[in-house]
Amino acid sequence: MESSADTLLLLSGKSEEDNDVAKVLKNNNTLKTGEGVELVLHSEVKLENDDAFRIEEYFNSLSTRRFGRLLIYSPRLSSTHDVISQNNSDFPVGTVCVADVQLKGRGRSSNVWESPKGCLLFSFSIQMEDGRVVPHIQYVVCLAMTEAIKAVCLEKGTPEIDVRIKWPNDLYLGGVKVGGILSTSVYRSKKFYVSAGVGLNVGNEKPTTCLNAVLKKVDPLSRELKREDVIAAFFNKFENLYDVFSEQGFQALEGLYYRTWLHSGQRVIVQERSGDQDQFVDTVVTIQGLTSSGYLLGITDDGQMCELHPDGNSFDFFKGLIKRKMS
Amino acid sequence: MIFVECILILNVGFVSGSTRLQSEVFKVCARLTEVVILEKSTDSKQVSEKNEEEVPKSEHTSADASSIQEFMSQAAHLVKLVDSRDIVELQLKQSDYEIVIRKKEAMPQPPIAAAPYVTAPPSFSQAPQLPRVSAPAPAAASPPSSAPAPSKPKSSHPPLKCPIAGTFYRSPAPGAPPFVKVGDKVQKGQVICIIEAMKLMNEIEADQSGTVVEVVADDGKPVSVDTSLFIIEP
Repeated sequence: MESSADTLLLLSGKSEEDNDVAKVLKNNNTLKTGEGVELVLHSEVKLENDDAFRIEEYFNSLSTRRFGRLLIYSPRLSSTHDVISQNNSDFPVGTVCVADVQLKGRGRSSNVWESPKGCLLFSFSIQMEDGRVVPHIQYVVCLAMTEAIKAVCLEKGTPEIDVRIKWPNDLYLGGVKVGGILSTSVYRSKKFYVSAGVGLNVGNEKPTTCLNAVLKKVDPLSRELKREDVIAAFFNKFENLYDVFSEQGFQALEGLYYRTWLHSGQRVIVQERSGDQDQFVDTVVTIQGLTSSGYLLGITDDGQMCELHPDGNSFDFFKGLIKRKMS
Repeated sequence: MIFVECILILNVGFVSGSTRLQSEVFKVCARLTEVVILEKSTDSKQVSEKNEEEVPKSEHTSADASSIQEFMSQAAHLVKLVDSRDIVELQLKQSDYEIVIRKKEAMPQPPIAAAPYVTAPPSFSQAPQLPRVSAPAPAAASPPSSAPAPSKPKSSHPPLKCPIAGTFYRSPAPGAPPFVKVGDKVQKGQVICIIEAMKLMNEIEADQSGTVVEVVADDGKPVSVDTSLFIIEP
């Protein structure tokens, strides 16, 4: 068993002001970090590990006003998501926790996210007020990541890689899962404190494949993507997309979203309740997009629009979809 | 294709004299440029047999395609208006007709294992009983009663309302004991349930300290914004 006694959390900020916030957070000593966790300011320690997340490089590439400016980095951590979700209302909006390795990376419900070295692992805080748009934040996070990867490839002159969104919260490359988004929220005093977590296989070929392996396959001489560049680009993109989303709603991002997801025109078999019993009939539905509440919008072969709901049991969202009349 | 600005329930009730004849509930999908009737159902509870006999059917079916079109385009305009504003409900009375537009958030959530899914193809011929906008008839009457109200809380204390649409869960995981049960004392800020929305788990905290006197919502069932979840007596 790994002991957590040597878990180190390093606080740092992009600017002087952000560093002042970091100092206050440390001095207040109110953060819930679990036992055996030491909270220090980045300026107080020197890291000797070559594989460590390069904080300066990250901050240099970051150009946001709010998101990603306060960083909690750990070389080895139970879960970045726990750090953010347990302290969300004490953190400024956009506080991010990054780890090189997670001991208990979180996936949906009680699933584990494999978090080996080379995987970009982070969670960050968002505050929202309108419950009707909270579920869509997952789509904005997915979209920011696919846009970020495109931008980094372009900037670094690597071959383009076509990372796509598998609704609602997975990232796929060439038919293989390379990333996932996990969001949870706490509703407290009329506000949703959302913790959004991302795991992205940048340099780790296990357990599936990773961005750098695919780049090498396309061009053996290609530069590799660095986690610091990807996460900085993520926040640069996310902040813009989030502003559009907050001001104009998700509709303003739908075009981009549909060009990036895997599902336009996809035909799926859905189950439809028949009669007043718990009997189901299979129907084929073509996916058209998303409904205003964020579910899949489908159309049957005879032209009926319907909303597709997951049955809540299947691991794969596209198995066990239930068709509901639009209401 | 840009679809679904919103999905609205258009509740069209119309009256003749002071007697309520019929209440049609049309489910209407608002697109940017048109309105398609997805489903029509007659709320039979509101139809009195006696009245049905007295009223010649022809009076209702006389609405021709163009007047229906006109009505629908006016309705579509209103739907768009409501959708573009921060309005959840609009009620309009004018001469012989009355229209109520409610956003989905304002409607009580239908039960999950609801009635069979009966669909009508999107065709105007399926709606022969639309009122003619210009038809003369004495104006009067009560506003159309909407879908059944959410279950009335027993207590006089205001219920804790759901902030987000999704599925209501009383326990942190399947098989685990519920966060709270009737009779439990809770502290403000204590997590009392989870609402799952599109795999996003939202922990809902008690907005005040007190005793849980009623769990209004059903475990594992869909809830919408403003559905009553709990009643907590301070």
